[in-house]
Amino acid sequence: MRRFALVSCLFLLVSACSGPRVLDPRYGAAIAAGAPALQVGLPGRGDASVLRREMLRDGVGSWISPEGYGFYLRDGLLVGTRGIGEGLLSADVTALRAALGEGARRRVVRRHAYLGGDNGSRIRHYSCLIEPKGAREIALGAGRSRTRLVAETCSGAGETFENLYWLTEPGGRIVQSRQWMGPLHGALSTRVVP
Amino acid sequence: MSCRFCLSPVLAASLGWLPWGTESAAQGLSFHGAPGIVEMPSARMLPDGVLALSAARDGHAARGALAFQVAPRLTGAFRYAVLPGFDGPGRDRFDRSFDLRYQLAEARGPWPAVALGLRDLAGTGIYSGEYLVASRPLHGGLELTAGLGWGRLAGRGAIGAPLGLFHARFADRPDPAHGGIATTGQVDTGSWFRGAAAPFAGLTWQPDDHWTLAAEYSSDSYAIEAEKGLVEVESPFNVALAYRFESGVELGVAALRGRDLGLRLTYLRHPDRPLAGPGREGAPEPLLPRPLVAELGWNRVETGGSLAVEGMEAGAPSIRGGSARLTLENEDWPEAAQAAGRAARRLANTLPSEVERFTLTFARHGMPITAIHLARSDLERLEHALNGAKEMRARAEITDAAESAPGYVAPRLSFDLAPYTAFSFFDPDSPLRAELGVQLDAGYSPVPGLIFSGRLRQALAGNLGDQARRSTSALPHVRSDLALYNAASAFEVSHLTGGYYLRPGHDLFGRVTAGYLEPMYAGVSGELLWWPVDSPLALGVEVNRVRQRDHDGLFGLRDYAVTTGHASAYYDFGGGYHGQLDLGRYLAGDWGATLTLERRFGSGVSVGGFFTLTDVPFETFGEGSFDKGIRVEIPVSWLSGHPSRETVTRTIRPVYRDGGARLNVRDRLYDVTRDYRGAAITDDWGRFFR
Repeated sequence: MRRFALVSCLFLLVSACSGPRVLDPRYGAAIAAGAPALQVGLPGRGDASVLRREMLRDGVGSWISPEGYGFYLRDGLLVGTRGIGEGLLSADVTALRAALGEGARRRVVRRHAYLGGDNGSRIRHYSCLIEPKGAREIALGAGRSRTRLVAETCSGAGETFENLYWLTEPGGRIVQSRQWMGPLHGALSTRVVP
Repeated sequence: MSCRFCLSPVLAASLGWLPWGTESAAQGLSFHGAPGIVEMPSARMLPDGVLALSAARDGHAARGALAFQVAPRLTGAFRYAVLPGFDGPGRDRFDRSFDLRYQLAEARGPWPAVALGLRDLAGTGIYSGEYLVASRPLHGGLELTAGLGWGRLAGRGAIGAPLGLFHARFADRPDPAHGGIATTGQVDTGSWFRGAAAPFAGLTWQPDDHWTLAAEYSSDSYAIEAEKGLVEVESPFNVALAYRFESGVELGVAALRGRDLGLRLTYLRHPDRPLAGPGREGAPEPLLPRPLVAELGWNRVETGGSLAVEGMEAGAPSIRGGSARLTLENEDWPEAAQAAGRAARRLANTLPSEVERFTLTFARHGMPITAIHLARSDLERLEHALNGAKEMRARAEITDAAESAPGYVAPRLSFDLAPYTAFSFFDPDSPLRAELGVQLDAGYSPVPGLIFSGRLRQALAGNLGDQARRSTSALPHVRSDLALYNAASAFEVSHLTGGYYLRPGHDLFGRVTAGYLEPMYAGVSGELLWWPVDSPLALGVEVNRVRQRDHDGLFGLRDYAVTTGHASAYYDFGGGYHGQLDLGRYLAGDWGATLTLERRFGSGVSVGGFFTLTDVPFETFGEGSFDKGIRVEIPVSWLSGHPSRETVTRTIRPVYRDGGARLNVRDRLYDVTRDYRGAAITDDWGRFFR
């Protein structure tokens, strides 16, 4: 039995050793193609990364991380994650987009589809309050940018979170944001790379 | 007042990746591994589907238990206990037992929950007892439990035989050991609820989701152990304290019988909460806009190569009119829906823009099984839609694929070198034996459907071969000489076969395998399965002619030869419950039937039990009386988060003897096709766009 324990410990040690982190080839290809970049961070985990956009189709951008994880963004709003986080399959942010464009104080409904543990998809509904917070000047790239900050406070499905969006003034494009991914990782912060 | 017996709708709805899941609603486990006070049971159930693995020391015995909430009102538990010195100085008793508890009524309003329980249905009788118990939640996280116990649970303070008032038969109780070792393993209905009964009661207090404090008056006087001088009982009261972590681990400590310290470690998990969460597989290839695909132009090699990247082998795609057909062998993805979604994306990104319909056929061993028909425009429209997965499933057509092309281009050669572990449980001399080694797998397919395959194993370390006990079975030693095989075969040819897999007709599957079929037998095996695509019922028939192999695991054969065969019915009851009935002739020449019941969860975890009754009398079978066991299957992807079709399967049989023994031929048709047939092909569609 002792010999068994020794040999199995050896096996476990060897299998636990992982080599250097391998870059996903699709990420490399995206860089080579000069795809747009987006800085993201997971403050809850202390991680930061630069995503590259593999494709833009029908208004949704498919962004890939160096490890090969996926993020889907519609006009800068997170509508899906792959390989990381809660298993956000898709999200309905139409009301939110309209409200951000208007710049008014409004109540909207958000809907998220998550992958359940049994591999089915489940929809969660959130009631959100959109509140413009005024003008903000932020650092973007080398210079500074004039933006307006909008806060979105949501509750539903046992969760409560606050998202922040910095939109260009004028233009209304999201250049910086903090968006809730789920209870596991908390918020995702994004910043456009100019 | 919070409802401790029900899940809040939010919690139920979010059964998914939340760190809390539903186990936090489960409370107070006893030292016997199922919901209870300290050692006494309560009327509570675990949340439906939850598994609880426990290890405990009660000051004398060490116990391991696996409890499973089979259905919302039925709990089953398998327990293995080691009682030091029970059979004499230095001679320990190893006790295997199986418990069942059925909740007759839920707690509602002023009424308590009521449950009926059977401890040690079919074991060696030490913990054998029955109980009727009621539990009522009170204000402030308190719960009061009171009940009546029979048998072992009537050791102290017996109040006579209450059921003796109804029928004289219940007035006394037969001695549990009266049959000797030969009657162990039988379901001893003859003594249920007979004889004296004694009351027990207790209180549990759960101020929050972590802590539990429990105190009880126990009706178990440990009379047998006290008589043998193994345990001293100073008090009928037991007190326990437990803490549950968010991960599902629970630690408990107790003061038992007034003087002993008890320790308990339990791990609770719901099978639909994979260890690795939603999975760490990388992002799928995004769909390209169709005009861009047209620009890039179609490249046949491109399709095949890109599918290989996704872990799938494919035959050549065929395009006719606006339809493309492709057969694939899915090597990596545990869920057919995810493999289909990935393959569909690759087709959409490489095929000419006129192609509107995709037909994806799943095949295994060169045998096409089921076809999924999709519209390319649905794919494009639903990729990011909120209800995309559900709508895709509603719009996909599923048909039988008997006439489809095979899923790979022959000839095909494969090799794999990997470590393996093998375990043996419940040998009285050493309850856990293990072996570690390396195995080499090789496969060659000259034409699709014809597969030559072999596995060589070399043991490196372990005590699996050290078993000294020899079989004393009165039947031909068809399985009970396992110790001789383990001892003599450090290097073994596990199997070496030629197999042919075919589709004889619509909804029909066929297999012929010949060679060294498994470590103990060589011969020929033929099987036919009928399973229509939408059908919950499948029917099969199998016939084998085999000879026993030599103990050294090489190419020699022994004299014993037998013809075995079974007619099988497989039924999907819905809700994840499956049953299988096999009728026929077993390896020892005995005739009988095997019933298997399993619960398969959406995540791929399966928990099930089986038993076999044949014309071999219980006394001839020997200890255990008939073949039975529990099987737990966990996909490797559930543990690691990375796609894999491998599973970790453990079959626990209290005894391994010669009655009711079936040939372990590999790749039986139902196992090969079940992931692509019936409910399995339409479940798991949440993964389609992943």
